[in-house]
Amino acid sequence: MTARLVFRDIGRTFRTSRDTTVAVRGVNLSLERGSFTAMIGRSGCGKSTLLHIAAGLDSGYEGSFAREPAGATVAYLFQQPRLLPWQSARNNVAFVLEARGVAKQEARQRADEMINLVGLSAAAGKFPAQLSGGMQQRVSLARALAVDPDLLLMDEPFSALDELTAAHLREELVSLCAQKERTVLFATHNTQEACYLADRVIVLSAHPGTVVADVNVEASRPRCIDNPRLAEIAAHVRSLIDRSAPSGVPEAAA
Amino acid sequence: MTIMPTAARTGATRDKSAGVAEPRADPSLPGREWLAAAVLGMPAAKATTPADGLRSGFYLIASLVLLALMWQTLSYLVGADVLPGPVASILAIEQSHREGYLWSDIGITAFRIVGAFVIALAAALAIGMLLGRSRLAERLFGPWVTIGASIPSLVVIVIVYLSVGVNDHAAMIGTALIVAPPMVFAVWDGIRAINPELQEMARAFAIPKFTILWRVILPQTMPFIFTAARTGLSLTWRLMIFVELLGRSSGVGYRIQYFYNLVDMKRVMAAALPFIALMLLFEFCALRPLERRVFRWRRAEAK
Repeated sequence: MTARLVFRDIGRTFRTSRDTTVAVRGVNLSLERGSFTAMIGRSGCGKSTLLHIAAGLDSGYEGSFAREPAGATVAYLFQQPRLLPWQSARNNVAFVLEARGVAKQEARQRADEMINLVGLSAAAGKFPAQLSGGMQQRVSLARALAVDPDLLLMDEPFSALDELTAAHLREELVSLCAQKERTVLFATHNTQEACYLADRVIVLSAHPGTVVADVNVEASRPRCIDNPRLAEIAAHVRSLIDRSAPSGVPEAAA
Repeated sequence: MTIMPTAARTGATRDKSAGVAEPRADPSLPGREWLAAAVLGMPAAKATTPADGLRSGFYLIASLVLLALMWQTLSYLVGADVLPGPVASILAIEQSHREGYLWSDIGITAFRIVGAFVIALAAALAIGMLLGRSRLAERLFGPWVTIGASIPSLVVIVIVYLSVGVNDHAAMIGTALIVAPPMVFAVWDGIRAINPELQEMARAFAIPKFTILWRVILPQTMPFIFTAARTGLSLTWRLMIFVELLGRSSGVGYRIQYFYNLVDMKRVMAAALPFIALMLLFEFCALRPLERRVFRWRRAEAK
């Protein structure tokens, strides 16, 4: 059962003793079952805030958010691998399964299968410190897929990796996602990445984060990374982002 | 005998990207320095292959033999009544054994050490966790720990003996009071080094709260708690001898004082040596192997 997400008039304000920051305001968005949606925008456009809300990590928002069904299984892939450094690659994957009530033996076995699936069978017994950044992120991907999520949330999962590794992992993600239908929400600030992966690209403006455009990526799958149609859409998305930048405010290009 | 309150404070490095902060590899721990560096002249041996292990074992023995030779030579030079040599000192242990207080001394002192250590560890865990978790507690009571760490040991011991009475309880409480502050600093650092990103990850995967505490938070603090424990233990055993010397009529410290009054250097050595040996044995045969086993993930470097 894949999940459906509905954000209705979502606002989120962070208050500290010094100042208040409006991270997102008036976001209306619904993600259909089995859709792959990318959110794109400059730093501070509220991508992570929306992902946190979708994951149930943040409940201090205004408006209403619904995840249907409420008991949908969620997995989160972060920019950093966020592995437990004292556990082997295999046990990092098995840990989330065990913690969710899977029997130890079965969890180990499923963890091994997932580790194989992301091509790390030789490194299953190694500690995260013994793995490269790309391999660690693969373990993290294996962990996310191991729980067989109805909803997969990803927060710039490949932006901390070198381009070759990132390209490889993107292809893996596409093929792993094609095996089973699941709803995916993916944050990035890479237009090519967004258009290559997603069915739909949501363009967000910053300060505060609001939806400025909703682009359908009409290209058949499997896609090729240098499909000219994708490049066209990516250029279009880029122009939308540029237009959304408040004039006179120099933004650090991501 | 002063204690460095800053030793444990500076021991932690926070590196979010690396996942979990670790206590510095070379914490300026008096215990480790005294036992490993000063006596044996080597840091914790890192045996990676059997050949390496054999070699470091050989150097350990060579180091000990060299030390004994130097001691013997010095003894000849200054005279055996001023500094008895190793052989004479070890033979004097036999005399203590014949007189029947060798094992009782060690037993009594070890009992007091364990008592003081348990009190200090419990206090350090409770206070360190409170200071690490509560901003208010940190501001209000944090300075107290620093003040406590800067009170000279002798002052603490005398005050506790005078207020509690000259008994075993006072010996344990006094020692614990002196030992606890640096341990508090280590635990406190450990609590502050908890990486909130790992907790967030666990929450995103809908992992139950108790499991997060037990399997995500606690393991992160273990290196710091271990550091606290081993610092505390080595400090405790050296202090306890001193505390016994001041106000107990049994134990290794008392025996040292007794023979000191008789100006019997050989018997002073005989009283101290078995206990030093016991502590070294504990360090090398229990603490280090345990530490190596529990924290092997920290030594795992990318190859």
